[in-house]
Amino acid sequence: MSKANDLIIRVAGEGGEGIISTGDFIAAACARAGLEVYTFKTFPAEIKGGYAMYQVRVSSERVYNQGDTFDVFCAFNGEAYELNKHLLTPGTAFVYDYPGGDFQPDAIPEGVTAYPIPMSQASKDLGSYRSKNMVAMGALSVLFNISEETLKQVLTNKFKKKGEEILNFNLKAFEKGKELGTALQKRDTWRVADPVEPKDVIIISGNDAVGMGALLGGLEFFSAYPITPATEIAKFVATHIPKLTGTLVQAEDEIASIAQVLGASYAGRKSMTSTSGPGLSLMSELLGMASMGEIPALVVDVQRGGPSTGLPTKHEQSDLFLAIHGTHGDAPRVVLSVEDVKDCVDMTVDALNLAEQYQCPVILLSDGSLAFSTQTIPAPKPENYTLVNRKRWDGEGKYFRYAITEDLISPMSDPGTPGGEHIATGLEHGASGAPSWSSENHEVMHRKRFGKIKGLVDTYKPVEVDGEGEADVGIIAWGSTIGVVRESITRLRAEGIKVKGFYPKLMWPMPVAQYEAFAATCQKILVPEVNFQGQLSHFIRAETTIRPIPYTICGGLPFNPAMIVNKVKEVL
Amino acid sequence: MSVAALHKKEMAPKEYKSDVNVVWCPGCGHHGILNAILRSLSELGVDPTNLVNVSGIGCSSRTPYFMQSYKMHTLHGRAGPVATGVQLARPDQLVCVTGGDGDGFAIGGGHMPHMARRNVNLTYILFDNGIYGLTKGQYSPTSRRELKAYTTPYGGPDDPMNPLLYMLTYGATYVAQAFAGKPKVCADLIKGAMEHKGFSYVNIYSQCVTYNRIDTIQYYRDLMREIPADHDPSDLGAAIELARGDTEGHRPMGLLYQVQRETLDERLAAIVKQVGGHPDFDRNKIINQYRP
Amino acid sequence: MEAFGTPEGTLVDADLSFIQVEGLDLSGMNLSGANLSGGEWVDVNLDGCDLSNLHVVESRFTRVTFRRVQLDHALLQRVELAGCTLERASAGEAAFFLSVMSDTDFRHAYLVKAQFLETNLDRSDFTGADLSFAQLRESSLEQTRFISCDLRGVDFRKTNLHHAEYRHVCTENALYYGLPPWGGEAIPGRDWVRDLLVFDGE
Repeated sequence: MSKANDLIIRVAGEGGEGIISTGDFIAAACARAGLEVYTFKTFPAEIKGGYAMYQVRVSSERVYNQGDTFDVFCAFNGEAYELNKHLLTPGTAFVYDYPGGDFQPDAIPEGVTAYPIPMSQASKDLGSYRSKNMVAMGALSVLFNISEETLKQVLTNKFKKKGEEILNFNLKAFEKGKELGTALQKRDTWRVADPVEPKDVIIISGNDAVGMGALLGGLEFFSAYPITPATEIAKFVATHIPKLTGTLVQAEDEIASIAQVLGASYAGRKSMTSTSGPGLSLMSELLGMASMGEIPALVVDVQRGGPSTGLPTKHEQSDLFLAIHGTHGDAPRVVLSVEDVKDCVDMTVDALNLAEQYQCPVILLSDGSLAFSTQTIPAPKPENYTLVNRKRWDGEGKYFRYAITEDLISPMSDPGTPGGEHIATGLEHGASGAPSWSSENHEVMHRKRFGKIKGLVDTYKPVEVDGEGEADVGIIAWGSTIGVVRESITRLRAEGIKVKGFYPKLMWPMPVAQYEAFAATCQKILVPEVNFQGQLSHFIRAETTIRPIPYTICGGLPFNPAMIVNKVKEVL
Repeated sequence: MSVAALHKKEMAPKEYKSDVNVVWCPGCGHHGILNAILRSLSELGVDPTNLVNVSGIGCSSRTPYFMQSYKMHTLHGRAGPVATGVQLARPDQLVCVTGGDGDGFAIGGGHMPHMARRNVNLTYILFDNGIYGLTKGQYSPTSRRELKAYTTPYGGPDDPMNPLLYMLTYGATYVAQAFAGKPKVCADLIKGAMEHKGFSYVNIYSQCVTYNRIDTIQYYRDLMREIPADHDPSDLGAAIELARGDTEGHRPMGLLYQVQRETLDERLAAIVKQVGGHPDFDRNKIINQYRP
Repeated sequence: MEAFGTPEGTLVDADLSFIQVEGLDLSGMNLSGANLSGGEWVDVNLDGCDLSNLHVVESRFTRVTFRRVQLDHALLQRVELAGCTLERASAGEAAFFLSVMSDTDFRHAYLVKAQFLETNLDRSDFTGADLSFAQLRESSLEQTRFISCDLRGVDFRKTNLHHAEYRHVCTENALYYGLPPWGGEAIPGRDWVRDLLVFDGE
């Protein structure tokens, strides 16, 4: 991907200064101009204020990750400068609040193009500090070729609801910024690609996309407890599910939310909850009940840094152990993991379908970097999604809830259906649901519960293999790391290195044959993941004959392509 | 769902029994409570097809097995939220929870206030025998200190809680109490609870003849005092006074409190109405909000 | 207690708990659903009464007659009925738990699916009674008489069968451990344990 086409702008400053909205405006304006956008942000852990960062990567080609570092940095305050100045390397451009801001930078390093813009001062002169971000945006727009037309459209859409006066004030600040930017001579080569024919896209965050997928997947009941970084899913569903006559409850804790989900699902409704690691830990006992009672249930886990309270606002991929095995006893479940925001929509539909089809808990893993990352994705078409409903009893003969059938999936019966009265139980049971604790029955039922999802490794969409033929290094990646690996592979190939990628989305049951087939074509297998123990590496070692090289980081941030490129060269 | 709106079915109490043998100890008060439940269902003409009975873990949580209906035998302490899910998913069905004092007030104690304050439209029948029977006799949140139980060989260090005060304080809209030795009173109160729209709570003392040898039916007979006929059940203050018990430590028997308040499912339905909800709502309208 | 003064008055669902009753003739009355718990009943005639859905816990009945009573689905727990007569009583699905019913007369009683659990039935007489699918688990049946009885499907497991008497009994599908209590060969391949529904301690 040519650099001229691919630009990363980072805006940072105090939370509440309009950092997030600045990023959102730029992202939306670029998307409106037909470009591909991938954003990445970190929120302050403080309740109010604190350091906030928003990074927009924009390109005329598809963008798979947030990139290595920024090309353009816009500092709203001294703290942002101090935290990022080590990244001001030759070739980068630096826009900052000066004079009139709260800092004067050190000597600008050689090769860095500096653009001091008196954002605070200009905003104050217009009558309020509140338009500082508009001034910044005006300057960025002229300096880096951000489409003024679409930016103004986005601003107008946003502010016209708040009244003519506020809209005009902001537009005035924007013009002032443009003026200040124009006054400075453009001395670098960074520019956003020119607008192209607009595509049929939406720009949406991972969390909102999960909510959208849920509604497209026919969700009828949702219960959750607030937790960072998953709460936006509940907010999305809360806003929209009543329009579809669905139900949302904010439960008293995660135990109650999964319990309500199981109750509603037993009663015949497509149900789900969303949470993060600590919530999933609390849910584990009831997930076992869902396995045992064969109750469809979807849990979306937006992973964050753990264990315990851990790093609540930071990215990590460390819930794989918990998702696959987190409960007592042998409790089968399906675990899916999303790569990007598009997956957040599509695979939430998949996950609801699988829960219904296999009558078992399904855990969909997202992560902290996807949760708040907004990306341009093709606008979903509701009519393109096929929805699956659970197998229901046909009313013929005597009803046995846990009857052993050919596909090991027993028909369910909704309350109110005459003759279908039955018990859903966490006790081991026979076909009718009556308790049975003989070892023979326990084994038969284990075979049923595990057996019914076994075929999924063949029926779920095949694992994507990136590349053909033999390779020196095969990279197996999961979750949002996949996007980073895609770009790393492109770069490595450009350098003549033979690499292939393998991107599983179905984490459990594990498509072992596909892993083996992939590994057979590679000299070495590298597994980069953002956790300390190398959790996917662990499962690969346990379930396959592959002996992977784990590459783990756990600094609370995702990989960037350069890291993977360097690691591949190291293990080559 | 109010019982009145349900499809009626004429069935004798024993016809509500399932073919599963009742496995409680002979002599247990739960047998009488089960009969009282069956009887109130019969008197209300409930069609078991429209009843969902949810339980957690414990002796009393086995009740669903012995009855004909839709039922769930869930996890220790979690019957309440599971039943909440069932009720919200199917407000057209009758939902009840049967469980014990440990299940409801120890491990499940965190859920109780929220069912009450949300006024979830279901009936919670709590079999209070002041003991953990299924795990062979440990003291529970309602055990008296005098009880020398499995894990309290020298008597209990904890003061027992007062379930009635708990439920009244958190906003239950129907609160009643009886003991297993008065099956007719139990049946009438359960019937009232099932007819009640909103969260109804019936506390029924039950003798455990195996592990709690001090809370006998004679003990309960002397403990209980019928609520005076002039008590106004809509008076929360008076209900709280009754729930505290009199100076000699007697406990009230009968209906302490009943008021009408919007239920959770009604309020959620009102939101759906407010936004003009429709199952065929065009999802593109939501998607379009995310166009740049 | 006023009800006792007016024999035509109804005693349906009456709460007659914790009372002492002596020398009364209540024969033929309808006491269905009544509660007779914690009482002391002496020399009372309940012949022909409707006692269906009766609830009795911890009461003692001395020389009380229950001939031809209707005891359908009644629950009697920890009740002493020693020496009483239930001749020709109809007690289908009635539950007699932890009770003392020794020397009791059950002749020609209808006891289908009745449950006698941990109950003392020593020397009682079941001549001509229909006990099909009744449960006698963990009860004591010393010198109990089963003559011309229908014992099909009766659960005799864990009962004390010492010197019980069986004559002209029909015992098809009855459940017991070891050899048939009424003599004869064990039926090969039968696994009684499997028929017993037991909950594991959750």
